[in-house]
Amino acid sequence: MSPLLPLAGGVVLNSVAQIALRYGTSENTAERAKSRRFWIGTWAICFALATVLWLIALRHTAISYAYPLLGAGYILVALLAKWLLRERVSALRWVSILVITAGVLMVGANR
Amino acid sequence: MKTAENAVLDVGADVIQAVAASPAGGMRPDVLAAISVAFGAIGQLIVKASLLFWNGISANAPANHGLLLKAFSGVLLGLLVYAAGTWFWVKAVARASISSLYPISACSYVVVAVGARFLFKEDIQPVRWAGIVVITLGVAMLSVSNLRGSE
Repeated sequence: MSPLLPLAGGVVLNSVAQIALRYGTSENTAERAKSRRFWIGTWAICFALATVLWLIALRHTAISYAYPLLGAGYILVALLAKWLLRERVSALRWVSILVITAGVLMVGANR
Repeated sequence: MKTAENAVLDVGADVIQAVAASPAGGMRPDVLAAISVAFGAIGQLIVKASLLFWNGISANAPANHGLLLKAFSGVLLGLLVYAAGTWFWVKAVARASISSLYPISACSYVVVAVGARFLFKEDIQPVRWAGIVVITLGVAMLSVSNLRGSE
């Protein structure tokens, strides 16, 4: 099995976890305690599953190949932050994301 | 009424806040971030070493539960060391903006690769080294883009 499958799954779950944590920690008022619990719970489950997928991927893959590919998380978090959290992403930030994407492709395409 | 799982989640959120607020012995945020990178990288390398050990066992002595337990403990230890890195990261972030610390956390890709080269003799081709440097550069650039964005 290609390690790219569990790696991609782990990166997606980890990115969802980051966004959930942002939701969970930005709502601190008492009436929103229930939704805070939901988001912190989502974070915990996604984070745990991402860790398991990381172990599955790493078991048969060089860490110098697998670890840099986790950088893809920055790309996904930027996209999710723009679409879901409606954060403004500056032009220079998109350039940084493009640079990371290039690096991830360089590592990923040459196993 | 508070259910058990709700209590656990509240405790979790409180722990994160307590870690952030806990004293750092007067350490500068960049030093805390560097320590977090070191712990994170060492943790990942311990996990990888344990998985290599695990693979060796399952190929040669699949029924040896003692050895499997040893490998499993190694994985847990690596994850714990990695978690210790996160602990330092939370403390660093509580004392400085995340963006100013990105260039330090970006170094983790190079540190892990150097560790893999020397500990596990991984064959790292020039393209992979270049890709790792490009990723590091890109993550470090996030810092500049964030500073500009907040002006």
